[in-house]
Amino acid sequence: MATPTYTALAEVELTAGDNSITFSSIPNTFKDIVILMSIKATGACGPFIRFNNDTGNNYFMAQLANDGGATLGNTGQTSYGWVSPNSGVSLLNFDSVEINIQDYSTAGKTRTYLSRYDNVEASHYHNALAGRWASTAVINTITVGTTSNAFAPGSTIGIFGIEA
Amino acid sequence: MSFTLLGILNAQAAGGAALPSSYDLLQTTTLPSSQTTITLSNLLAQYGTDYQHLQVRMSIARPNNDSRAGGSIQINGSTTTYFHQLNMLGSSVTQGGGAGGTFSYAGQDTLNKFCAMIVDINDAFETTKNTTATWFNGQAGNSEPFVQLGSTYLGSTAAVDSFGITAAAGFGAESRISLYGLKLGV
Repeated sequence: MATPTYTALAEVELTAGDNSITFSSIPNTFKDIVILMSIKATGACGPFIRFNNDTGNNYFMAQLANDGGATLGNTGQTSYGWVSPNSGVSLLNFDSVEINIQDYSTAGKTRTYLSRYDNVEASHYHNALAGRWASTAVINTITVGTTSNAFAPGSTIGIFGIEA
Repeated sequence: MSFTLLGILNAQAAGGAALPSSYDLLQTTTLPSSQTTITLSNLLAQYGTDYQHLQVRMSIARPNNDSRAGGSIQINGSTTTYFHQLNMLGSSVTQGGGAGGTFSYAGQDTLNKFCAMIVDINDAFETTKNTTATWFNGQAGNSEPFVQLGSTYLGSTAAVDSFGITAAAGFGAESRISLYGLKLGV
């Protein structure tokens, strides 16, 4: 029996610059979450996500990136979940971002996500990143933030739930 | 800025008529114990009429070992599927290709690490096109963190009737594979 899904949970379009957008009380009735963003910035910044307001050094990442030159790879551990560590957010145009968080509500699993980020300006970075939040807590709060400066007005963030 | 989700945003909440869904969950398999192969079969008869594209979303782990292992995608049971992939392992970037549709995954049940993987099969039931698929997978914070972008080519215009993944190292308990269908023209 087919089950309609990919349900819109929230969508925000910024009317003013903001460097921290938090979505709370996310229902636990889905298995996966998809975050779709169209973002630009007011100044140099790196985008990240954070779960359940956890500011501990509990986020891991592995990244594959290319800016037209040599393709690079790296890994890291930080206090937030990188979306695109080697790419700043574009200042004039809107970058496209898709983040898939698998099994965000399933007991007994730490939270792995996949992020695709395409920076359309200057560096022209294409990023494919795997991240993991080293916690088995159900994700009920997601913060989308920047390391400095702000997302610019007109940036949009949409959150969708997928059943399984 | 902070938002509390008091309800689910949908077309009705926005004041419009509810739209028919174009993205449906078709089936899910969650492993109760380790096994080496997971296969979704009889897809053409079940979904060929109603859906144009397929997406497979997975959360899979190697049992009791968090180093990387290889698995393979099998569309219609083919073991001669051609593939190409771009890999990042540690800080090393490589590419590869050949027959067999191989991919990487890792995991460790005791530390609850799982690899995320998404496979898209466009025009899955068309019989005038050689079937192709793309995937994106990765895992971080394990002994061999990696990211992989891959594509595979079945070399046949046969409609997709089965999708399977197999790995000698096995898939641990709680590994999940979910199949979704996307419609056109709704």
